[in-house]
Amino acid sequence: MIEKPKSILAKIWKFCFGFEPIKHAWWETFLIRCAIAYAAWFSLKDARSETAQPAPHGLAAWGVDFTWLSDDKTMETVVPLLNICLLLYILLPIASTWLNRGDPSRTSSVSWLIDIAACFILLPPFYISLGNGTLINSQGAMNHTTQIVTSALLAQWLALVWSCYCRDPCKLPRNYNSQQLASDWTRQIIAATYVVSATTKLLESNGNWLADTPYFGLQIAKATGQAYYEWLSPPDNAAWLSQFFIDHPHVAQGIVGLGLPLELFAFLALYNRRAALFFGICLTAFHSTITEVMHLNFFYHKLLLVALFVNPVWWVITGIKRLIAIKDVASD
Amino acid sequence: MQNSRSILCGLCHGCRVISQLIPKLNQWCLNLPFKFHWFFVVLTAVVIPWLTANHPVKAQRGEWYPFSNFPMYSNFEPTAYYVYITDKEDKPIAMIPTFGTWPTAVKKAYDAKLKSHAKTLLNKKGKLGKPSKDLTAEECRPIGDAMLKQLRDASKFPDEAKKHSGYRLYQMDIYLDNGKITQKPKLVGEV
Repeated sequence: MIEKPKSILAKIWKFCFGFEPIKHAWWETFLIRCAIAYAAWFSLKDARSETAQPAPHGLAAWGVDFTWLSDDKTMETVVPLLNICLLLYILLPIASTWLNRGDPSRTSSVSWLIDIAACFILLPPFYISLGNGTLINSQGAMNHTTQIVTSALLAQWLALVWSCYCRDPCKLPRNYNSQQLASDWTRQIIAATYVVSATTKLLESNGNWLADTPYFGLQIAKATGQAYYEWLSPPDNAAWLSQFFIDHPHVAQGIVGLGLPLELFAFLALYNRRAALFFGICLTAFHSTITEVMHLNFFYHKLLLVALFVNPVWWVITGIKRLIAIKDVASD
Repeated sequence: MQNSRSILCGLCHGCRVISQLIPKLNQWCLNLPFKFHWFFVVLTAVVIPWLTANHPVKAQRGEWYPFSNFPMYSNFEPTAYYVYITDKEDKPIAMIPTFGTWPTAVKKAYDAKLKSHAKTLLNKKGKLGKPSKDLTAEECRPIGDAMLKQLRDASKFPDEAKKHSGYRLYQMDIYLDNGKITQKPKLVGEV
């Protein structure tokens, strides 16, 4: 049977969003774990300042008390233990890779035991991260700063649990190993946070989101004022944009409106490395712009987007490999 | 008789369509890529908002940490405001080194309490539930006073918080006046 020649559009679509499972090398998953562990450590390294749960939220509403996270003495013990857990979480899978370097089938039971150990090791950081966010959100105001870190830890933990449950790597989706599955699920949960945010944005504004974007200028004025009262230092930001957006509503719609499709279609980033790179760069730029204009940090979002979506080290190494290959062909 | 027969036929047809749809839906679900992703989309966008729909605090609806359907800047309104704190001489106070908290967090907590308080007040029609935007400085006062007291007493840096004899909380209203962004402060709390 003769295959029909594909149209140029179909070829472009396949190049952009053709499904190619992202099978990370062991060192890529190592770098991803480093980024997640760093984000977790950075968000949990200090005792919280919140000493009560006046408006219990999440698990706190079910009676779980997380105020121990604000106790300096308790945290003096908890933080070193947390550090050990995070260090083992980074290093243990390397032992599995090293043991499997010869015949993978021979040491599969050892890998399975290592995955089980990793499940137990990751549980304390996940629980503390969950408690940390719950305690912050139990003060009467919602805060989403560390939500992405807890979600990433949850996805990593669930993937490890699923790998242990399946035991046989052949039963895992797309023949991933446990670490590749953990990275894939973490990417999926991060993309879900963006898709949900965009969907709610459209629903809550009754579809008027784009029409009302010029009023974003008022939000810039608000953010500028708030930034000043943090340390009483005049913010070095794009405050001029506030009046500019009011005066030029179509420009505002163009600039601010770009963020919506980026979030709504974030799931397309899961299809292959090229799409992940595109969405990773665009979303990082989107967050960086908000940081500049609105004084919102988005440190964890940017860190995890770079590690899981942009994955710059892989692109550099692949680029160098391609260059060497081209050189070899030319010299032959 | 004719009517009941047509209803029965309609029901039979509906059942047949559904019975044909179920395996197709099942197949579609099985073939759906990124099931983990869509599971969390449904959980966060549908299940959790449904379970938390009756939460007394509006800001907590759709939230169950770490799951959140919070859409940042979903509703751009023609008014906005932030809060700031001064001493008794109206000299601005830096919030982070004094109270260990951010103006955004103070504003969010103040806003949530203000909205709950507004529900207990009478609106123009004489019914319960006044829009929080319409509250006068006097009506905001109980919330502002309570916020300041809580900030002072629960400060991460109690020595810094005790340096001042008293505090004032201002609400800076931002709105458009003939197409120009205008800001106007109002005193909403004092301790």
